[in-house]
Amino acid sequence: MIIQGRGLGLRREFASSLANGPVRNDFDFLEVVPDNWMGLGGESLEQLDAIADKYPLVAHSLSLSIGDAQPLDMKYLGAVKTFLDNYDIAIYSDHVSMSRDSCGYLYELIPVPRTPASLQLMVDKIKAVQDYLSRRIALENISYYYDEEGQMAETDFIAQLIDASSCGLLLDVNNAYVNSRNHGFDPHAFIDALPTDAVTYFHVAGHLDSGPQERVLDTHGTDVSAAVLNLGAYAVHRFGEQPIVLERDNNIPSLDALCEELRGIHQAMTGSTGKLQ
Amino acid sequence: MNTRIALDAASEAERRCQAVRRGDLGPYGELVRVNAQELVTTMFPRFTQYRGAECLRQDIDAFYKCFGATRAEFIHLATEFVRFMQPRLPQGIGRPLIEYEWMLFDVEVDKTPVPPDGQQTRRPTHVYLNPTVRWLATPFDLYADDQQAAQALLNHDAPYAYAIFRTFDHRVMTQRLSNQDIAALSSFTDGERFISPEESAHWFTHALAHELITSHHEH
Repeated sequence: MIIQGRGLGLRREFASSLANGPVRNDFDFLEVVPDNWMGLGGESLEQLDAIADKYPLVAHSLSLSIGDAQPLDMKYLGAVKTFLDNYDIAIYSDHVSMSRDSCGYLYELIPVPRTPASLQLMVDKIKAVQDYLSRRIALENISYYYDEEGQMAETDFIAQLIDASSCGLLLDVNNAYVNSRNHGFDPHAFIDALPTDAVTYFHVAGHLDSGPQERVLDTHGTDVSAAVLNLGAYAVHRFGEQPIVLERDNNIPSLDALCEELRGIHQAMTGSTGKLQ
Repeated sequence: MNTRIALDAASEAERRCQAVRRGDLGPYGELVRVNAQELVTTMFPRFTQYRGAECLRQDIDAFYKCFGATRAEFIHLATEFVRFMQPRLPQGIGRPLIEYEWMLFDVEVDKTPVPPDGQQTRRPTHVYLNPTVRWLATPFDLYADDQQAAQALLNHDAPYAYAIFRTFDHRVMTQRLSNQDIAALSSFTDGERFISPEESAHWFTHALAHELITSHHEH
């Protein structure tokens, strides 16, 4: 199944409406977080089954922890594979991050050390995951609030990761923007430094900007800012028109309002090209 | 992979995660704790109220410092937190409360489908236990407030028994069991029972109406 156009992150707040209502045409597909649905029965399962009958799905997980130094969690990966196969999902992504140490899970997307050793370990694990899932996976650039001197540049790290493992990039435009503000770099230069054929699809979301002295927070709790839309348009110009997913996790408005925002986002990102002011 | 590379990567990744466990690594130590507290508060509201905000904050801090969670999904942080807390909670109402509230979640997401409700006009002849049912005995009445519950513990009240189950339309029910309920339920074998023409069907009809049992069985 070819995924294209406008996607919406599936959230419980409107799952019932989508499961029980008529098919909507103001988005083209839904992005589902397997962690929030797999292994669950009852109403969750009933709703997801109904939604999957109506809409194409892509999957975006949180706990692959591809950047940790532990063996792959085959129990988790097996559940993801079953989920992808059951719902006929071709596009699967997670994050360039880690959420586990030798003790256990931490339940957060922690930035990986951007070192050659970490890169090599991640490449090996990505290849193993892709072999096991029989799919090319995509990894998302995360927003990060901690960094260390002397590491590889994030763009170099991601570019080498993609080149060596043949995985795709889920480019989160909001994360690129948030990181550029928090770590003081040019987000357009960040986009320019990524390989042109890398992007599988785009994420956009809102953030909390409390002023120049404060850390910008990737909250997914507000409408997408004009600055992120401009950067998104620039990214589309560089990487071509790829599917766009709107993520909203907090202060979730009505489904109609979200779809209207998604329409505007898609128009802003694909209806214009080049670096916008 | 080169062993040296693997060791370097492992030690660096481990160092960062250990910092998070200690409460460091920029804001991450605090972030994980805030997220965990929010989930625990949402899923275990009565336990949270009983435990108090400061005790809960210390519990979550200890959870990160001492415990190895094995379930990857964030939703199961709740399950892991219960596992962590069970042996640490002193005698009292805290442990039964958190176990009860976790059971509500466990029943809600149980993968076993529940057959349509068992209401029928004819006298039931063959009935089954609701496939999602869990049994719980507590040393106090779950419907009592914390003060009454603590008093029941002091008085060494007889245990209170409950059935927790999900209905066909996904409502999670807590039914306090009477002695008659327990006697009737103990006559089930492997979750099912025939009702002979000679015996009263009154209890079964009542239990069918509440969906504790069903007369339809789906394999």
